[in-house]
Amino acid sequence: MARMKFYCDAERCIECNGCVTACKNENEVPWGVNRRRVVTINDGESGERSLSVACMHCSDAPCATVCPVDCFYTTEDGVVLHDKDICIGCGYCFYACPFGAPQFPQDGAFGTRGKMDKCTFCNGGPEENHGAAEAQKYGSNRLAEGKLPACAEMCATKALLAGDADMIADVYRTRVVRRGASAMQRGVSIQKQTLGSGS
Amino acid sequence: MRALLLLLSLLLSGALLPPLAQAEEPRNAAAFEREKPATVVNPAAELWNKVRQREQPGFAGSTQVGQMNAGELVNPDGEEWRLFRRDELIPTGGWLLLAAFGAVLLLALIRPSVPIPGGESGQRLRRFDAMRRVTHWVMAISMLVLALTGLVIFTGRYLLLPWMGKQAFGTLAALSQQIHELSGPVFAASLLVFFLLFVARNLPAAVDFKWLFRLGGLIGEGHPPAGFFNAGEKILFWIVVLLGVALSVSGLAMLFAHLVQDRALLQLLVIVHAISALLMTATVFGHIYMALSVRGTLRAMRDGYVDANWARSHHPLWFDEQAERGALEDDRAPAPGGGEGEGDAARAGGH
Repeated sequence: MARMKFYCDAERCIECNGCVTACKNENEVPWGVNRRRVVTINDGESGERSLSVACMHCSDAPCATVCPVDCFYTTEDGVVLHDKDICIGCGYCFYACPFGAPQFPQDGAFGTRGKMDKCTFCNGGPEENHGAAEAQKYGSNRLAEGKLPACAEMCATKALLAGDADMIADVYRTRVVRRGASAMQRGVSIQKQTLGSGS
Repeated sequence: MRALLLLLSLLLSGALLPPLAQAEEPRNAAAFEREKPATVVNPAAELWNKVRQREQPGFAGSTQVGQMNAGELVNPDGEEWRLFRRDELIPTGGWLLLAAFGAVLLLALIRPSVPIPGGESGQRLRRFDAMRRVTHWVMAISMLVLALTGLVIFTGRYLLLPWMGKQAFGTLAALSQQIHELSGPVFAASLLVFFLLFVARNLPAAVDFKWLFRLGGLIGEGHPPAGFFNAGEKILFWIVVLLGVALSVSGLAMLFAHLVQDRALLQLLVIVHAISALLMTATVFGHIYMALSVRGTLRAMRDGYVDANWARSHHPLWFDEQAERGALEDDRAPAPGGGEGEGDAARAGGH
């Protein structure tokens, strides 16, 4: 069985936010909810790196264990999904999630948090594949059509990789070998040249 | 936790490094002096250290997304928070509630009721006016509803879900959460009114220390002196007010999380809310037992009156004051309609 994973290559991401847009478009994500985001470290300085992050579909997902109503489940492809019919929008998954992936639209008694929404690896939800209910609650289900998530497919620099963990690892390993010993080889070589003048 | 580990590693390195340095020094001290070690920063390590907030807690990158803590790639405390809640808070909280309930049950078996000393006198005193009774019951009922619905969310996954199934429990939990969110503000508002109405009579007085010293009459002969409220009731008042404020503030912040926009603070507030709620519920168990077991007490919150003998034994100072004012009424007299005189008696009952 495949084990679906995302990987974002910090050496390639150019912070174009194409993945964010692709995701919002593909899944008709409501206002105020971003299933994916791009974060830039050292913005505008040397060593600037960007990473695109969404639900990482953890093997042992903290959200699933913290959820007071146990609404999460892992598909046989290793995709972590949740059932919005069970979710109560308490927000605990957001507090526990290592990546800040769960998002909450405004809803509820005082226009507060509604039911949680997060990246589904473009794999819909527990409802019937490609049904109206699934589309309305979770958005697209590309995996059921044999396609990979829209964010990774749209990535212009192929920084964002999605797919079976083994294949992602192979692609990334090849890249690392071609670049040199380290994923950050570019940074290391710059460092070597300027070693005398300090960092 | 992280700070502790850091401290530990610092201590360890501090303990281990000096002997090594000393061992090397005699051999090539001169060489060591010449070649100053250059600080070689591994950019990869630097990037991931930043992402993991190892050197700069709370470090956030820049992002176009405006959600809560969106600039943080990794949530540094989530795992610790989750494990604390699952392995310590919920089990300890559950046992604490069971223990409190068991203690009250045991007390109820040992001392099911305390009759009014001297029986019913046929005379009564006005204790609480309608405003105070309504405020008390609004707060009491909203608190019980909040405790029940809160417990469903807090322990339901472990106690209810296994035999209810995900769908049924999901519905119950969603309902509980909605009711919890609606009664929360009711509780907060009634707590505020309650505080304003009752605070004047709950300020500590010298006589309270005597009462406490004798544990409310458990030690020594007869009832220790007490005014309108005894020290035990005053302590209950302050516990309820303080926990109530903690619950209201943390609850409202959790309810309006989109206005708070701070994950670390919300994590803390979830814990504060749970601990305050558990202590409040345990306290209320005790309060309910006292109100039900000490005969004649519940009446004060039902029709607002207490029997003269009840007042004489439990609140002698208040009774003397009232008797002096001639506030004693014949218990067979019809209760005053429209509330005339209610305020008088209650107000005069103060201090």
